[in-house]
Amino acid sequence: MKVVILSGKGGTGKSSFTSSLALGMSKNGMVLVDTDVDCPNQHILFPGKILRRKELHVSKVALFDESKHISSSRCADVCRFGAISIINGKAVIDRIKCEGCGACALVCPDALKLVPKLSGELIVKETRHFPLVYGKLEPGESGSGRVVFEVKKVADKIAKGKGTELILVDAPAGIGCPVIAAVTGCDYALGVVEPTPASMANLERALEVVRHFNIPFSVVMNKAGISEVHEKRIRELYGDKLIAQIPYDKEVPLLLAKGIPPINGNGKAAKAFREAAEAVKLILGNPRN
Amino acid sequence: MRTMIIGITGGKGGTGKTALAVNLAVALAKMGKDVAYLDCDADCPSAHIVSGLELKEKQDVHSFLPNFIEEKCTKCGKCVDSCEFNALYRLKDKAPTLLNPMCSGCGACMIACPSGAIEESSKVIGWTYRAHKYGVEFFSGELKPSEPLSEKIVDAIKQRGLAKKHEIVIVDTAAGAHCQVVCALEGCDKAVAVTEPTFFGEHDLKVISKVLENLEIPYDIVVNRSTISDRKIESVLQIPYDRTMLDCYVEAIPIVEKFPEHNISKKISAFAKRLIE
Repeated sequence: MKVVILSGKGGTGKSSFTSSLALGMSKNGMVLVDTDVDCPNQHILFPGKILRRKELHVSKVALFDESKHISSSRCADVCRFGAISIINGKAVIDRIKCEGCGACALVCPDALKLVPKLSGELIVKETRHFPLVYGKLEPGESGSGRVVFEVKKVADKIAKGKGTELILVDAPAGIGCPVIAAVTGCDYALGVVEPTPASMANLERALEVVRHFNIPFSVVMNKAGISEVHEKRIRELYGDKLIAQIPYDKEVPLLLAKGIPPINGNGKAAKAFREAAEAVKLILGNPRN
Repeated sequence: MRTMIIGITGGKGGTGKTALAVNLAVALAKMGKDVAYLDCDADCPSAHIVSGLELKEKQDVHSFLPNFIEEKCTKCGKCVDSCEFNALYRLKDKAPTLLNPMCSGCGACMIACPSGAIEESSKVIGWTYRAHKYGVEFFSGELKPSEPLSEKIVDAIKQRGLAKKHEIVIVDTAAGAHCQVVCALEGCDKAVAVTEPTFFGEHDLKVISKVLENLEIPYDIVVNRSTISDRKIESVLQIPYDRTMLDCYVEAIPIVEKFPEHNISKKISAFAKRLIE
Protein backbone atom coordinates (compact mmCIF):
# COMPACT_ATOMS: atom_id res chain seq x y z
CA MET A 1 0.00 0.00 0.00
CA LYS A 2 1.49 3.28 -1.12
CA VAL A 3 -0.05 6.43 0.37
CA VAL A 4 0.74 9.92 -0.88
CA ILE A 5 0.22 13.00 1.31
CA LEU A 6 -0.34 16.21 -0.61
CA SER A 7 -1.92 19.64 -0.25
CA GLY A 8 -1.36 21.80 -3.34
CA LYS A 9 -0.55 24.88 -1.32
CA GLY A 10 2.66 24.79 0.67
CA GLY A 11 2.89 25.31 4.41
CA THR A 12 -0.44 23.73 5.30
CA GLY A 13 1.33 21.25 7.56
CA LYS A 14 1.84 18.44 5.08
CA SER A 15 5.29 17.49 6.34
CA SER A 16 4.31 17.90 10.02
CA PHE A 17 1.32 15.67 9.44
CA THR A 18 3.36 13.13 7.47
CA SER A 19 6.05 12.92 10.14
CA SER A 20 3.41 12.42 12.82
CA LEU A 21 1.54 9.87 10.75
CA ALA A 22 4.78 8.01 10.07
CA LEU A 23 5.54 7.75 13.79
CA GLY A 24 1.96 6.77 14.54
CA MET A 25 1.99 4.01 11.92
CA SER A 26 5.56 2.73 12.11
CA LYS A 27 4.84 -0.14 14.51
CA ASN A 28 4.08 -2.64 11.78
CA GLY A 29 6.88 -1.57 9.47
CA MET A 30 6.89 1.26 7.00
CA VAL A 31 9.11 3.16 4.59
CA LEU A 32 8.93 6.95 4.54
CA VAL A 33 9.66 8.72 1.26
CA ASP A 34 10.23 12.47 1.05
CA THR A 35 9.58 13.49 -2.56
CA ASP A 36 9.85 17.21 -1.86
CA VAL A 37 13.20 17.07 -3.63
CA ASP A 38 13.54 20.88 -3.80
CA CYS A 39 13.27 21.33 -0.07
CA PRO A 40 13.18 17.97 1.70
CA ASN A 41 12.41 18.30 5.41
CA GLN A 42 11.71 14.85 6.87
CA HIS A 43 15.41 14.10 7.41
CA ILE A 44 15.56 17.07 9.80
CA LEU A 45 12.91 15.47 12.00
CA PHE A 46 14.35 11.97 11.80
CA PRO A 47 18.06 11.76 12.53
CA GLY A 48 19.85 8.52 11.84
CA LYS A 49 22.57 6.81 9.91
CA ILE A 50 22.96 7.43 6.19
CA LEU A 51 23.20 4.06 4.49
CA ARG A 52 23.52 5.17 0.92
CA ARG A 53 24.09 8.29 -1.17
CA LYS A 54 23.89 8.23 -4.91
CA GLU A 55 24.36 11.01 -7.42
CA LEU A 56 21.53 11.08 -9.93
CA HIS A 57 22.21 11.93 -13.55
CA VAL A 58 18.65 11.46 -14.72
CA SER A 59 18.23 14.52 -16.93
CA LYS A 60 20.09 15.66 -19.98
CA VAL A 61 21.25 18.97 -21.34
CA ALA A 62 22.33 20.06 -24.83
CA LEU A 63 26.05 20.59 -25.34
CA PHE A 64 27.56 22.60 -28.18
CA ASP A 65 30.88 21.54 -29.65
CA GLU A 66 32.89 24.76 -29.27
CA SER A 67 35.24 23.76 -32.11
CA LYS A 68 32.33 24.03 -34.54
CA HIS A 69 30.95 27.07 -36.29
CA ILE A 70 27.33 27.08 -37.36
CA SER A 71 25.89 29.10 -40.19
CA SER A 72 22.17 28.39 -39.75
CA SER A 73 19.92 29.16 -36.83
CA ARG A 74 17.88 25.97 -37.20
CA CYS A 75 18.88 24.57 -33.82
CA ALA A 76 17.62 27.73 -32.12
CA ASP A 77 14.49 27.80 -34.29
CA VAL A 78 13.42 24.26 -33.37
CA CYS A 79 13.96 24.78 -29.64
CA ARG A 80 10.51 25.27 -28.13
CA PHE A 81 11.94 26.27 -24.77
CA GLY A 82 13.89 29.30 -26.00
CA ALA A 83 17.08 27.78 -24.62
CA ILE A 84 19.41 28.46 -27.57
CA SER A 85 20.79 31.73 -28.86
CA ILE A 86 23.28 31.97 -31.71
CA ILE A 87 26.15 34.34 -30.97
CA ASN A 88 28.96 34.72 -33.53
CA GLY A 89 28.35 31.32 -35.08
CA LYS A 90 28.24 29.56 -31.72
CA ALA A 91 25.17 28.06 -30.07
CA VAL A 92 24.84 29.31 -26.50
CA ILE A 93 22.69 27.02 -24.34
CA ASP A 94 20.68 28.36 -21.41
CA ARG A 95 21.08 25.42 -19.03
CA ILE A 96 18.05 26.42 -16.99
CA LYS A 97 15.68 26.62 -19.96
CA CYS A 98 17.05 23.52 -21.72
CA GLU A 99 14.70 20.57 -21.13
CA GLY A 100 17.12 18.07 -22.64
CA CYS A 101 14.77 17.10 -25.45
CA GLY A 102 17.42 16.81 -28.14
CA ALA A 103 15.49 18.59 -30.90
CA CYS A 104 18.58 20.75 -31.58
CA ALA A 105 20.84 17.70 -31.85
CA LEU A 106 18.42 16.14 -34.32
CA VAL A 107 18.68 19.09 -36.73
CA CYS A 108 22.38 19.73 -36.15
CA PRO A 109 24.01 16.45 -35.05
CA ASP A 110 27.49 17.65 -36.03
CA ALA A 111 27.67 20.45 -33.49
CA LEU A 112 25.14 19.57 -30.81
CA LYS A 113 24.56 16.54 -28.63
CA LEU A 114 22.74 15.61 -25.45
CA VAL A 115 24.78 14.82 -22.36
CA PRO A 116 23.60 13.65 -18.94
CA LYS A 117 23.75 16.22 -16.15
CA LEU A 118 23.78 16.02 -12.37
CA SER A 119 20.15 16.41 -11.31
CA GLY A 120 20.55 15.71 -7.66
CA GLU A 121 21.20 13.13 -5.04
CA LEU A 122 19.36 10.18 -3.58
CA ILE A 123 19.79 9.39 0.10
CA VAL A 124 18.73 6.34 2.12
CA LYS A 125 18.77 6.74 5.86
CA GLU A 126 18.11 4.31 8.69
CA THR A 127 16.25 6.15 11.43
CA ARG A 128 15.21 4.81 14.82
CA HIS A 129 11.74 4.05 13.54
CA PHE A 130 11.87 3.29 9.80
CA PRO A 131 13.97 3.66 6.65
CA LEU A 132 13.74 7.14 5.12
CA VAL A 133 14.40 7.69 1.43
CA TYR A 134 14.72 11.19 0.05
CA GLY A 135 16.09 13.13 -2.85
CA LYS A 136 17.87 16.43 -3.10
CA LEU A 137 17.57 18.31 -6.34
CA GLU A 138 20.56 20.44 -7.31
CA PRO A 139 19.25 23.90 -6.41
CA GLY A 140 17.47 25.40 -9.41
CA GLU A 141 17.81 22.35 -11.64
CA SER A 142 15.03 20.96 -13.77
CA GLY A 143 14.12 17.28 -13.80
CA SER A 144 12.54 17.17 -10.33
CA GLY A 145 9.96 14.68 -11.62
CA ARG A 146 12.68 12.28 -12.71
CA VAL A 147 14.42 12.56 -9.33
CA VAL A 148 11.09 11.79 -7.62
CA PHE A 149 10.66 8.67 -9.79
CA GLU A 150 14.14 7.45 -8.82
CA VAL A 151 13.51 8.07 -5.11
CA LYS A 152 10.24 6.14 -5.26
CA LYS A 153 11.85 3.27 -7.16
CA VAL A 154 14.47 2.83 -4.43
CA ALA A 155 11.79 3.03 -1.71
CA ASP A 156 9.85 0.26 -3.46
CA LYS A 157 12.93 -1.95 -3.45
CA ILE A 158 13.63 -1.34 0.23
CA ALA A 159 10.01 -2.05 1.16
CA LYS A 160 10.09 -5.26 -0.86
CA GLY A 161 13.39 -6.33 0.69
CA LYS A 162 12.05 -5.78 4.20
CA GLY A 163 8.65 -7.27 3.48
CA THR A 164 7.02 -3.95 4.41
CA GLU A 165 3.67 -3.24 2.89
CA LEU A 166 3.24 0.39 3.79
CA ILE A 167 5.03 3.25 2.02
CA LEU A 168 4.23 6.85 2.95
CA VAL A 169 5.04 9.42 0.27
CA ASP A 170 5.36 13.07 1.32
CA ALA A 171 4.61 15.10 -1.84
CA PRO A 172 6.02 18.53 -2.65
CA ALA A 173 3.87 21.66 -2.82
CA GLY A 174 2.17 22.44 -6.11
CA ILE A 175 0.51 20.22 -8.70
CA GLY A 176 3.15 20.13 -11.47
CA CYS A 177 5.75 17.67 -12.64
CA PRO A 178 7.22 16.48 -9.27
CA VAL A 179 3.74 16.15 -7.72
CA ILE A 180 2.49 14.09 -10.67
CA ALA A 181 5.57 11.89 -10.24
CA ALA A 182 4.83 11.55 -6.49
CA VAL A 183 1.17 10.65 -7.06
CA THR A 184 1.76 8.19 -9.92
CA GLY A 185 1.47 4.58 -8.74
CA CYS A 186 0.03 5.38 -5.31
CA ASP A 187 -2.95 3.45 -3.99
CA TYR A 188 -4.35 6.10 -1.70
CA ALA A 189 -4.04 9.85 -1.18
CA LEU A 190 -4.41 12.04 1.90
CA GLY A 191 -5.05 15.73 1.31
CA VAL A 192 -4.02 18.19 4.01
CA VAL A 193 -5.97 21.43 4.12
CA GLU A 194 -6.08 24.43 6.45
CA PRO A 195 -9.23 26.55 6.78
CA THR A 196 -8.06 29.40 4.54
CA PRO A 197 -9.44 30.20 1.09
CA ALA A 198 -6.02 29.77 -0.60
CA SER A 199 -5.44 26.35 0.92
CA MET A 200 -8.95 25.16 0.10
CA ALA A 201 -8.77 26.25 -3.55
CA ASN A 202 -5.39 24.66 -4.02
CA LEU A 203 -6.21 21.38 -2.29
CA GLU A 204 -8.98 21.05 -4.87
CA ARG A 205 -6.42 21.58 -7.65
CA ALA A 206 -4.23 18.85 -6.14
CA LEU A 207 -7.23 16.53 -5.78
CA GLU A 208 -8.01 17.05 -9.46
CA VAL A 209 -4.66 15.40 -10.17
CA VAL A 210 -5.54 12.59 -7.72
CA ARG A 211 -8.92 12.08 -9.40
CA HIS A 212 -7.22 12.08 -12.80
CA PHE A 213 -5.31 8.99 -11.68
CA ASN A 214 -8.45 7.44 -10.12
CA ILE A 215 -6.88 7.24 -6.68
CA PRO A 216 -9.24 7.14 -3.66
CA PHE A 217 -8.55 9.84 -1.07
CA SER A 218 -9.41 11.30 2.32
CA VAL A 219 -8.88 14.78 3.72
CA VAL A 220 -7.31 15.97 6.96
CA MET A 221 -7.94 19.47 8.24
CA ASN A 222 -4.98 21.11 9.92
CA LYS A 223 -4.97 24.28 12.05
CA ALA A 224 -8.69 23.95 12.80
CA GLY A 225 -9.90 26.88 14.90
CA ILE A 226 -8.52 29.73 12.80
CA SER A 227 -11.70 30.31 10.79
CA GLU A 228 -15.10 28.91 11.68
CA VAL A 229 -16.65 29.86 8.33
CA HIS A 230 -14.04 28.00 6.30
CA GLU A 231 -14.00 25.01 8.63
CA LYS A 232 -17.74 24.64 8.13
CA ARG A 233 -17.25 24.80 4.38
CA ILE A 234 -14.56 22.12 4.49
CA ARG A 235 -16.85 19.86 6.54
CA GLU A 236 -19.68 20.35 4.08
CA LEU A 237 -17.46 19.89 1.04
CA TYR A 238 -15.76 16.65 2.09
CA GLY A 239 -18.31 15.08 4.47
CA ASP A 240 -17.19 11.54 5.37
CA LYS A 241 -13.97 12.05 3.48
CA LEU A 242 -12.81 14.41 6.21
CA ILE A 243 -11.26 11.88 8.58
CA ALA A 244 -9.38 14.07 11.05
CA GLN A 245 -9.23 17.62 12.36
CA ILE A 246 -6.04 18.87 13.99
CA PRO A 247 -6.64 21.97 16.11
CA TYR A 248 -4.42 25.02 15.78
CA ASP A 249 -1.97 24.74 18.64
CA LYS A 250 0.90 27.10 19.44
CA GLU A 251 2.89 24.11 20.63
CA VAL A 252 3.31 22.85 17.03
CA PRO A 253 5.63 25.59 15.71
CA LEU A 254 7.61 25.42 18.96
CA LEU A 255 8.12 21.68 18.51
CA LEU A 256 9.03 22.13 14.84
CA ALA A 257 11.49 24.86 15.77
CA LYS A 258 13.24 22.20 17.85
CA GLY A 259 12.97 19.56 15.13
CA ILE A 260 10.44 17.39 16.98
CA PRO A 261 7.55 15.73 15.08
CA PRO A 262 4.38 17.31 16.54
CA ILE A 263 2.81 13.96 17.47
CA ASN A 264 5.38 13.82 20.29
CA GLY A 265 4.04 16.94 22.00
CA ASN A 266 1.69 17.19 24.98
CA GLY A 267 -0.95 19.57 23.64
CA LYS A 268 -4.28 19.21 21.90
CA ALA A 269 -2.69 19.02 18.43
CA ALA A 270 -0.42 16.15 19.47
CA LYS A 271 -3.47 14.27 20.77
CA ALA A 272 -5.31 14.92 17.51
CA PHE A 273 -2.30 13.72 15.49
CA ARG A 274 -2.38 10.43 17.43
CA GLU A 275 -6.10 10.07 16.73
CA ALA A 276 -5.53 10.95 13.06
CA ALA A 277 -2.93 8.18 12.72
CA GLU A 278 -5.50 5.74 14.13
CA ALA A 279 -8.15 7.01 11.72
CA VAL A 280 -5.80 6.57 8.76
CA LYS A 281 -4.93 3.02 9.91
CA LEU A 282 -8.61 2.21 9.99
CA ILE A 283 -9.19 3.67 6.53
CA LEU A 284 -6.29 1.78 5.00
CA GLY A 285 -7.69 -1.42 6.45
CA ASN A 286 -4.65 -1.76 8.68
CA PRO A 287 -2.81 -3.88 6.09
CA ARG A 288 -0.75 -5.81 8.64
CA ASN A 289 -3.56 -6.95 10.92
CA MET B 1 12.06 54.50 -17.62
CA ARG B 2 13.42 51.08 -16.75
CA THR B 3 11.19 48.58 -15.01
CA MET B 4 12.34 47.38 -11.60
CA ILE B 5 11.49 43.69 -11.11
CA ILE B 6 11.37 42.34 -7.56
CA GLY B 7 10.99 38.60 -6.96
CA ILE B 8 9.33 37.32 -3.79
CA THR B 9 10.39 33.78 -2.97
CA GLY B 10 11.40 31.67 0.04
CA GLY B 11 11.81 27.95 -0.62
CA LYS B 12 9.39 26.69 1.99
CA GLY B 13 5.67 26.87 1.30
CA GLY B 14 3.28 28.79 3.49
CA THR B 15 5.80 31.23 4.93
CA GLY B 16 3.70 34.17 3.79
CA LYS B 17 5.27 34.93 0.41
CA THR B 18 2.01 35.83 -1.27
CA ALA B 19 0.63 37.79 1.68
CA LEU B 20 3.81 39.89 1.82
CA ALA B 21 4.03 40.26 -1.97
CA VAL B 22 0.44 41.50 -2.26
CA ASN B 23 0.93 43.92 0.63
CA LEU B 24 4.16 45.24 -0.89
CA ALA B 25 2.45 45.81 -4.24
CA VAL B 26 -0.52 47.59 -2.67
CA ALA B 27 1.77 49.66 -0.42
CA LEU B 28 3.80 50.77 -3.46
CA ALA B 29 0.64 51.66 -5.39
CA LYS B 30 -0.46 53.77 -2.42
CA MET B 31 2.81 55.69 -2.76
CA GLY B 32 1.73 56.58 -6.29
CA LYS B 33 3.89 54.00 -8.07
CA ASP B 34 2.82 52.25 -11.25
CA VAL B 35 2.82 48.62 -10.08
CA ALA B 36 2.20 45.25 -11.74
CA TYR B 37 1.87 42.05 -9.76
CA LEU B 38 2.74 38.74 -11.39
CA ASP B 39 1.50 35.65 -9.57
CA CYS B 40 4.02 33.15 -10.94
CA ASP B 41 2.86 30.21 -8.81
CA ALA B 42 1.20 28.52 -11.75
CA ASP B 43 0.57 25.32 -9.78
CA CYS B 44 -1.30 26.93 -6.92
CA PRO B 45 -2.05 30.57 -7.68
CA SER B 46 -3.44 32.36 -4.65
CA ALA B 47 -2.74 36.10 -4.97
CA HIS B 48 -6.25 36.62 -6.37
CA ILE B 49 -7.71 34.70 -3.44
CA VAL B 50 -5.65 36.59 -0.86
CA SER B 51 -6.65 39.94 -2.34
CA GLY B 52 -10.23 39.02 -3.17
CA LEU B 53 -10.12 39.75 -6.87
CA GLU B 54 -11.87 38.16 -9.76
CA LEU B 55 -9.60 36.94 -12.55
CA LYS B 56 -10.56 38.20 -15.99
CA GLU B 57 -9.36 38.22 -19.59
CA LYS B 58 -8.54 34.51 -19.73
CA GLN B 59 -6.02 33.46 -22.39
CA ASP B 60 -5.06 29.90 -23.34
CA VAL B 61 -1.47 28.67 -23.06
CA HIS B 62 -0.64 26.06 -25.67
CA SER B 63 1.96 23.37 -25.91
CA PHE B 64 2.97 21.38 -29.00
CA LEU B 65 1.36 17.99 -29.43
CA PRO B 66 2.22 15.55 -32.23
CA ASN B 67 -0.59 14.57 -34.57
CA PHE B 68 0.07 11.22 -36.25
CA ILE B 69 -1.00 10.71 -39.87
CA GLU B 70 -1.34 6.95 -39.91
CA GLU B 71 -1.37 6.54 -43.69
CA LYS B 72 2.05 8.17 -43.93
CA CYS B 73 3.61 6.24 -41.00
CA THR B 74 6.18 3.62 -42.10
CA LYS B 75 6.39 2.25 -38.54
CA CYS B 76 10.14 2.83 -38.42
CA GLY B 77 10.15 3.76 -34.74
CA LYS B 78 12.44 6.79 -35.09
CA CYS B 79 9.97 9.05 -33.28
CA VAL B 80 9.87 6.68 -30.31
CA ASP B 81 13.69 6.61 -30.15
CA SER B 82 13.89 10.40 -30.34
CA CYS B 83 11.57 11.00 -27.37
CA GLU B 84 13.63 11.76 -24.25
CA PHE B 85 10.52 11.81 -22.08
CA ASN B 86 9.24 8.28 -22.80
CA ALA B 87 6.00 9.78 -24.02
CA LEU B 88 5.84 7.56 -27.09
CA TYR B 89 5.66 3.80 -27.27
CA ARG B 90 4.89 1.39 -29.98
CA LEU B 91 4.09 -2.27 -30.23
CA LYS B 92 5.98 -4.19 -32.89
CA ASP B 93 4.97 -3.12 -36.41
CA LYS B 94 2.32 -0.77 -35.05
CA ALA B 95 1.99 3.00 -35.30
CA PRO B 96 3.16 4.87 -32.18
CA THR B 97 0.90 5.80 -29.28
CA LEU B 98 1.30 9.04 -27.33
CA LEU B 99 1.23 9.09 -23.52
CA ASN B 100 -0.17 12.58 -23.33
CA PRO B 101 0.87 13.62 -19.79
CA MET B 102 4.51 12.65 -20.40
CA CYS B 103 4.79 14.81 -23.54
CA SER B 104 6.97 17.88 -23.01
CA GLY B 105 5.83 19.43 -26.26
CA CYS B 106 9.41 19.59 -27.56
CA GLY B 107 8.61 18.48 -31.11
CA ALA B 108 11.65 16.19 -31.43
CA CYS B 109 9.44 13.38 -32.78
CA MET B 110 8.26 15.58 -35.64
CA ILE B 111 11.88 16.34 -36.59
CA ALA B 112 12.88 12.68 -36.29
CA CYS B 113 10.06 11.38 -38.51
CA PRO B 114 11.48 10.77 -42.00
CA SER B 115 8.12 10.33 -43.73
CA GLY B 116 6.25 13.45 -42.62
CA ALA B 117 3.75 11.37 -40.66
CA ILE B 118 3.76 13.75 -37.68
CA GLU B 119 2.05 17.09 -37.99
CA GLU B 120 2.03 20.02 -35.63
CA SER B 121 -0.94 20.13 -33.29
CA SER B 122 -1.36 21.66 -29.86
CA LYS B 123 -3.08 21.24 -26.53
CA VAL B 124 -4.12 23.78 -23.93
CA ILE B 125 -1.98 23.25 -20.81
CA GLY B 126 -3.22 26.22 -18.80
CA TRP B 127 -4.35 29.82 -18.82
CA THR B 128 -3.23 33.34 -17.97
CA TYR B 129 -5.42 36.12 -16.54
CA ARG B 130 -5.40 39.83 -15.86
CA ALA B 131 -7.24 41.86 -13.23
CA HIS B 132 -7.06 45.23 -11.50
CA LYS B 133 -7.53 46.16 -7.85
CA TYR B 134 -6.10 48.48 -5.17
CA GLY B 135 -4.31 50.43 -7.90
CA VAL B 136 -2.28 47.36 -8.93
CA GLU B 137 -2.48 45.54 -12.26
CA PHE B 138 -2.53 41.81 -11.47
CA PHE B 139 -1.40 39.08 -13.86
CA SER B 140 -1.94 35.48 -12.96
CA GLY B 141 -2.09 32.05 -14.52
CA GLU B 142 -2.84 28.45 -13.76
CA LEU B 143 -1.55 25.12 -14.88
CA LYS B 144 -4.28 22.74 -15.99
CA PRO B 145 -4.35 19.98 -13.33
CA SER B 146 -2.57 16.79 -14.46
CA GLU B 147 -0.37 18.74 -16.89
CA PRO B 148 3.28 18.89 -15.79
CA LEU B 149 4.77 21.95 -17.54
CA SER B 150 4.39 24.68 -14.89
CA GLU B 151 7.32 26.69 -16.26
CA LYS B 152 5.55 27.23 -19.58
CA ILE B 153 2.69 28.94 -17.77
CA VAL B 154 5.18 31.04 -15.78
CA ASP B 155 6.79 32.11 -19.07
CA ALA B 156 3.40 33.10 -20.46
CA ILE B 157 2.51 35.10 -17.32
CA LYS B 158 5.84 36.94 -17.46
CA GLN B 159 5.48 37.67 -21.14
CA ARG B 160 2.03 39.12 -20.62
CA GLY B 161 2.85 40.99 -17.42
CA LEU B 162 6.14 42.52 -18.51
CA ALA B 163 4.84 43.75 -21.87
CA LYS B 164 3.36 46.94 -20.44
CA LYS B 165 6.60 48.09 -18.85
CA HIS B 166 5.29 49.13 -15.46
CA GLU B 167 7.53 51.13 -13.17
CA ILE B 168 7.69 48.30 -10.64
CA VAL B 169 6.86 44.63 -11.11
CA ILE B 170 6.41 42.29 -8.14
CA VAL B 171 6.99 38.64 -9.12
CA ASP B 172 5.55 36.16 -6.61
CA THR B 173 7.05 32.67 -7.01
CA ALA B 174 5.89 29.18 -6.08
CA ALA B 175 7.31 27.26 -3.14
CA GLY B 176 10.37 25.15 -3.78
CA ALA B 177 13.49 25.75 -5.80
CA HIS B 178 12.96 23.90 -9.08
CA CYS B 179 12.66 25.10 -12.65
CA GLN B 180 9.32 26.85 -12.17
CA VAL B 181 10.75 29.05 -9.41
CA VAL B 182 13.98 29.71 -11.33
CA CYS B 183 11.95 30.63 -14.38
CA ALA B 184 10.03 33.20 -12.30
CA LEU B 185 13.20 34.63 -10.74
CA GLU B 186 15.19 34.92 -13.98
CA GLY B 187 15.50 38.59 -14.89
CA CYS B 188 14.61 39.93 -11.44
CA ASP B 189 16.71 42.89 -10.30
CA LYS B 190 16.41 41.93 -6.68
CA ALA B 191 14.57 39.46 -4.54
CA VAL B 192 13.05 38.99 -1.12
CA ALA B 193 13.33 35.59 0.57
CA VAL B 194 10.49 35.11 3.03
CA THR B 195 10.98 32.52 5.74
CA GLU B 196 9.76 31.59 9.23
CA PRO B 197 11.72 30.77 12.39
CA THR B 198 11.42 26.98 12.21
CA PHE B 199 13.93 24.27 11.30
CA PHE B 200 12.11 23.82 7.97
CA GLY B 201 12.06 27.53 7.21
CA GLU B 202 15.75 27.92 7.91
CA HIS B 203 16.72 24.82 5.94
CA ASP B 204 14.72 25.81 2.86
CA LEU B 205 16.03 29.38 3.06
CA LYS B 206 19.53 27.97 2.52
CA VAL B 207 18.35 26.17 -0.62
CA ILE B 208 16.69 29.25 -2.15
CA SER B 209 19.67 31.43 -1.15
CA LYS B 210 21.89 29.17 -3.24
CA VAL B 211 19.52 29.51 -6.21
CA LEU B 212 19.52 33.32 -5.87
CA GLU B 213 23.31 33.40 -5.59
CA ASN B 214 23.64 31.22 -8.71
CA LEU B 215 21.36 33.62 -10.55
CA GLU B 216 23.37 36.57 -9.15
CA ILE B 217 20.26 38.25 -7.78
CA PRO B 218 20.82 40.34 -4.61
CA TYR B 219 18.22 39.58 -1.95
CA ASP B 220 16.87 40.57 1.43
CA ILE B 221 15.64 38.09 4.02
CA VAL B 222 12.29 38.65 5.75
CA VAL B 223 11.26 36.54 8.73
CA ASN B 224 7.51 36.18 8.95
CA ARG B 225 5.74 35.14 12.18
CA SER B 226 9.06 35.97 13.85
CA THR B 227 7.63 35.47 17.33
CA ILE B 228 6.40 31.85 17.01
CA SER B 229 9.72 30.52 18.30
CA ASP B 230 12.96 31.88 19.65
CA ARG B 231 15.05 30.83 16.64
CA LYS B 232 16.95 33.81 15.31
CA ILE B 233 17.53 34.24 11.58
CA GLU B 234 19.49 37.24 10.35
CA SER B 235 17.04 39.40 8.40
CA VAL B 236 16.20 42.96 7.39
CA LEU B 237 12.55 42.72 8.44
CA GLN B 238 10.74 40.71 11.09
CA ILE B 239 6.96 40.50 10.98
CA PRO B 240 5.60 39.30 14.34
CA TYR B 241 2.84 36.71 14.52
CA ASP B 242 -0.36 38.71 14.69
CA ARG B 243 -3.93 37.54 14.56
CA THR B 244 -4.89 40.63 12.50
CA MET B 245 -2.59 39.50 9.66
CA LEU B 246 -4.22 36.07 9.68
CA ASP B 247 -7.73 37.57 9.77
CA CYS B 248 -6.91 39.82 6.79
CA TYR B 249 -5.58 36.77 4.93
CA VAL B 250 -8.73 34.77 5.63
CA GLU B 251 -10.95 37.76 4.79
CA ALA B 252 -8.95 38.35 1.58
CA ILE B 253 -8.09 42.02 2.17
CA PRO B 254 -4.44 43.15 2.31
CA ILE B 255 -3.58 44.48 5.79
CA VAL B 256 -2.06 47.69 4.34
CA GLU B 257 -5.46 48.35 2.77
CA LYS B 258 -7.69 47.42 5.70
CA PHE B 259 -5.56 48.70 8.59
CA PRO B 260 -3.00 51.15 7.12
CA GLU B 261 -2.14 52.38 10.62
CA HIS B 262 -1.41 48.90 11.99
CA ASN B 263 2.15 48.29 13.16
CA ILE B 264 2.66 45.55 10.52
CA SER B 265 1.29 47.79 7.72
CA LYS B 266 3.77 50.48 8.69
CA LYS B 267 6.63 47.99 8.74
CA ILE B 268 5.71 46.61 5.31
CA SER B 269 5.30 50.09 3.79
CA ALA B 270 8.69 51.20 5.13
CA PHE B 271 10.27 48.06 3.73
CA ALA B 272 8.58 48.61 0.34
CA LYS B 273 10.00 52.12 0.21
CA ARG B 274 13.47 50.84 1.00
CA LEU B 275 13.21 48.14 -1.67
CA ILE B 276 12.72 50.61 -4.52
CA GLU B 277 15.33 53.12 -3.40
